[in-house]
Amino acid sequence: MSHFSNARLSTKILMTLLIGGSVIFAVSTLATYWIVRDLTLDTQKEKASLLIQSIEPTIAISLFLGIKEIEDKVSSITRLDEVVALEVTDIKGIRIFNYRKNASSPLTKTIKITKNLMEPSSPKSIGTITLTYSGEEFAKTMDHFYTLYGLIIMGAILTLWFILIWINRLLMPIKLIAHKVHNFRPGEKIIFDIPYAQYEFVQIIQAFESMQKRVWNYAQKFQTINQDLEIKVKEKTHELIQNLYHDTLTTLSNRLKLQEDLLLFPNNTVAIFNIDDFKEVNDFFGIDAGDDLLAQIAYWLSETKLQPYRIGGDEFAFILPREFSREEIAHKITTFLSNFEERNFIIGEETFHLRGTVGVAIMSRKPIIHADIALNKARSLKKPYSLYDSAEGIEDQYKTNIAMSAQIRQALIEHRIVCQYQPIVNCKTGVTDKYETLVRIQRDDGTLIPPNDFLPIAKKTKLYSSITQEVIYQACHTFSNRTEHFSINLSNSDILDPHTLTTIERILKQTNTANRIVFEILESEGIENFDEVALFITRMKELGASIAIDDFGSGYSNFENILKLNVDFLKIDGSLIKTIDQNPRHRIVVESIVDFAHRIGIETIAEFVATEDILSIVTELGITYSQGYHTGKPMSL
Amino acid sequence: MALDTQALSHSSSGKAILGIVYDDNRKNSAKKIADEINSNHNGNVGALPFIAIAISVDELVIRHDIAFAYLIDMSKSSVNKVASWGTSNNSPTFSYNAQNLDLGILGTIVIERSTVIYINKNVLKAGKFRFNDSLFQIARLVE
Repeated sequence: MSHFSNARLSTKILMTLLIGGSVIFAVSTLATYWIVRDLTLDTQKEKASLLIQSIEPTIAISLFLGIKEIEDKVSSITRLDEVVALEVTDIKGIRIFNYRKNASSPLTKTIKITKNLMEPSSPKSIGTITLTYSGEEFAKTMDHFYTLYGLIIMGAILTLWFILIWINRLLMPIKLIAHKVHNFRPGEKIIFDIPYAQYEFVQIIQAFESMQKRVWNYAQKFQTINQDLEIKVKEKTHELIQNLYHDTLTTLSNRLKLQEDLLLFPNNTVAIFNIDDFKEVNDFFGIDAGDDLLAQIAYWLSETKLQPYRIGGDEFAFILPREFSREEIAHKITTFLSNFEERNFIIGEETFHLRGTVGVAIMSRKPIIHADIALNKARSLKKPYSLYDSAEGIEDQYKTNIAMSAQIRQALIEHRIVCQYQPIVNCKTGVTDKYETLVRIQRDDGTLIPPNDFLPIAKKTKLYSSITQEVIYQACHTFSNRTEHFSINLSNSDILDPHTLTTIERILKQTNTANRIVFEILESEGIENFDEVALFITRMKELGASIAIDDFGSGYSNFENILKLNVDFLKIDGSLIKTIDQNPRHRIVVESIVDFAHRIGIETIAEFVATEDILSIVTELGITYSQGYHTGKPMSL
Repeated sequence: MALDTQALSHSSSGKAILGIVYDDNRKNSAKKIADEINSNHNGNVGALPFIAIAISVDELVIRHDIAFAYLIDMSKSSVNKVASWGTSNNSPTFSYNAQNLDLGILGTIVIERSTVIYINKNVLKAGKFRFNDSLFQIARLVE
């Protein structure tokens, strides 16, 4: 059925005609066949009946009169070719007369008519007469009929064939129109030169031409729009390329342009020039002044005949000639920096004398990275410039840092952040009243990574807060079942992170350990973010927690800040304690700290108590608690 | 009579004899009819040569050469005699009066709107009459 649905229109019309015509033809043929057959048969029967009727009275009289010689009476019909047989029997069934034509073909259909012979003027039967009539005429008539309908069928097929050709010819314009429309492309014009077309096709063509005209108009409009757009796209592309490869402030080429230019050669010599303390210019004179200064520097760099790139806020780069030796480069850089320092830059009425630092990578496959490493090295060493040396292994350190970062991340996922607890012993009683929580990473083989190896990296990668939260969780749950106090180190980032603080508060409430926890804060961090730290201490103390200042005495200790922060413990820096038995100056400093603590009513803790002598001294000095390998190593609880 | 296929077999003269039968004193009437017939047909009816004669019942019953007997009005007893004679002599007997059929006469010719020949079926079967088939096509057989 779907084949027919998708069939060609001409096929559908032809099939419709064929099916409709066939049905009509079959019905009419069948009806005609029946009529002709019955009519012919009836005619033949009628003839046979007439023949019988012609002799019936005579035969009946003869039979009635008992005359058995009736041959001459029936000779009028027996001599007819159509009469095949004639039989007369009396009432008893005795055959009176029997005639049978010898030449009759057994295959020929015959018509047999039998009639009762009645006694004259009486309904009484006195015998029967049976006439067998030849069916040849019937067969001939039917043969004529078949021949006629055969011819009619052939004529019908021929007519259908001509109709098919005619339908195809009628529908030809549709094919031509479809072909032309199928190959239509916007901007082209279709000419419907159909050789002949009926009214309907003319309408279709007119509709297509009307549509084509509108499409043409739209195409023209779109072409104009496209041309405008192309111009704008070109302009924008040019602008984007300009923006992509150039710095908008200084109009110098940018980092991306530098990277692409470096692709011309496998190895390049690149110098990165950083303006020292430029942040202070921005902070002090404002960003506009800083930008103005950068523009002046860029202009000055352009005048040096170097090909400068601006690759960062206050960083510029140059591609140096590849043939320069290390000595030539060092000389050029020295001269360049000297000229830069001598140059006066003026913003408003202010004159600026600036200094710069340069890092150089010579014939490097990664010149930007290596020059940057060299720059960092020069800045850390307070040198005006540095040449990258792969033997220094700084790149390896970077790789180690990346690997450690991944290891920390994996340890957090796999719960391999573990806590150890170092006893803090009361100097007077010798009892372990407290523990300091120390974090470790447990390797796959069970060994532990000390905190110094991963905490600095964790701070740089923002994993530190996750570690802190894990440590607080473990420690609080461990000491929720114990009676001792325990301390946990917090960094500035922990205190400044609202999520970490919320987590701390939640865990303390869950484990009910707030009155036994001591948060250790570095004195330096308390000074840097005084307000935030003070707020944190207030919040924790409201929960019942205690605060200790860690590594007190390591830097420029400020006793006033300690007073303001309202801390509970001072942990005296280990560098003072571990040599207190040998360095009288350290002992004096420690005595001062202890004295201060006693006066303001806070307790002290000595770290790095490694020997009995040190323990004796710290006890003697009145330090409340001691912590170190002598009094107890870190352990699992 | 012309349709009787045995008409000539009764006489050796080559002519079939049509007897106009009478009884009592009706000879003249019979003779007049016979003369009239002879006069009108001139000795032949169709292809059959014949002669019409007036003959009494008594004479008729003793003769065997009469091929066809036509009865004029007569008594029943005479009619019966003639009927018996016809059957036994295989000579057709016809009467003017249709009621004579009931007395054994073979046939009668009645002139109604058209001329109709009635033949007594029983008499026909009882006698050994042989008529041309065309007679049966125009005659009506009655019991």
